[in-house]
Amino acid sequence: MNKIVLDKEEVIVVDEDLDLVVSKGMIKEIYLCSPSMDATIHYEVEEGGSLSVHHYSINSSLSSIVHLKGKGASVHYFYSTINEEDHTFSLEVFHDADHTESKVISHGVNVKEKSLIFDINPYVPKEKEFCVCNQENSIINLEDGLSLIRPNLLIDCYNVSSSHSAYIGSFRDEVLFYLMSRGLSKDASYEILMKSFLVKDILKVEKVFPEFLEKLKDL
Amino acid sequence: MLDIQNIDVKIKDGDKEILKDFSLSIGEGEVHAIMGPNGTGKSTLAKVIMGHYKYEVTAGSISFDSRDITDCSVDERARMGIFLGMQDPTEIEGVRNSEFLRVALKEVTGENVNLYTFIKELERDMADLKLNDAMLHRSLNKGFSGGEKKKNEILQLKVLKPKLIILDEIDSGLDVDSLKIVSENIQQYLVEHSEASLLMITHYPRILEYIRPDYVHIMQNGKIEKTGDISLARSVEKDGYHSINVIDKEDIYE
Repeated sequence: MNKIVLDKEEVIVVDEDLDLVVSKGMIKEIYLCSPSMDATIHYEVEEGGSLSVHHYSINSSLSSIVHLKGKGASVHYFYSTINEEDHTFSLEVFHDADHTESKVISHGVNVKEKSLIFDINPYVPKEKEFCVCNQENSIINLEDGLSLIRPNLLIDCYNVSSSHSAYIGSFRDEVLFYLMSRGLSKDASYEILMKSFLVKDILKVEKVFPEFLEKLKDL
Repeated sequence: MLDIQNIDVKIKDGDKEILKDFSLSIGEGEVHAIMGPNGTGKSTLAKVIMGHYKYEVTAGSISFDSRDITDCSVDERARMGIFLGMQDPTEIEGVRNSEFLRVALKEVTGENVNLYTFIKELERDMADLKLNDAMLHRSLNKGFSGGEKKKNEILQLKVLKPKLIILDEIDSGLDVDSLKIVSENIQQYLVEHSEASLLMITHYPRILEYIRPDYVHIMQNGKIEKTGDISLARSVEKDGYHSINVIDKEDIYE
């Protein structure tokens, strides 16, 4: 396993298990590419550290484990996947200190009649106060795929602010109507919706690995 | 330009009939306003002209530019030049306003959009509407105020340059200043595109003082009950819709 101490914004290809560390007080943004490769990634964010993860994957089962180790540590995790086989994304976030914050957004497109599972588990133990943990999960089924989201909140403490949501289905008819009423064909509407759904920050699209963007075009 | 002949409309997969034997013709360059109490089918009419998925035309026909569009898809109608400014524009997370406008323009014109020209025109249109540039980089209608949403609909209209504009309660949720700005922009569009027609659905005659309609229709129970001019709208404001039942059966004109 590689252990990487993050020292700048970087793009990392996940082709084996990884161990990533954000040092005390550091602010880091990373782009992970998981092209058809199963892996486990461990993150540690030390006191006052902040980590933004943009994780793009194709046909991968991935397990991410985040430890927010010091007071004020935070993680913003955006996971985006295109799925054509049976795969699971599992994310565990351990709020190991007070005033820690996690925000998870996981988006997936389940292309075929396969299984895509999101298993999202933040843990806030009893004695860790004033934590924030939010998550929003969506899977768009293009066919009759077996998609499942477990948007858990495992919270033992009262002083926590948290929210969770999960959506599995297709794009809303109302949204398609709006786009098509401006002249976009159904295909063009899907294309623009897919892109916005799967690529979080279109201004940084060059950071997303090419195979993912190619796959996105083919959907 | 638009010819609706004796249509019956019901909700798909349901029995409820909303429009009954409804007819309306709008000629080139004409401005029509439809008023009526809540629940009479005004917004349904707007959506049906646009081809909304919830409604089914069970009898009659809708023609646009002499072509029967009753069975045309929504995007076909839009590309033919029909534009529906919505009462409550849909919020679409993640789709940037500018990207959406550029793609829509490309789809409507069928041509690649010159980015420089597009941006310059957009900047001018936004200045006309007193819209902040930052709106272009935000998700479509997401987090917009009521006024911004309505102005954004008019921005789209100015970019896409339709032949038939349908505005469903464009005046609702607008403050006095915004109503004036929106009205001026619509008026300016109609002057610059003299062949364009407008169908406004509204509850309030105020917007009709800014954009003078050639015809005002009062709709009740899925039908047009009365047609007149601006004076009909004023009489409704003064005496309410119930008054039109006792008004002389002949159309009212100023």
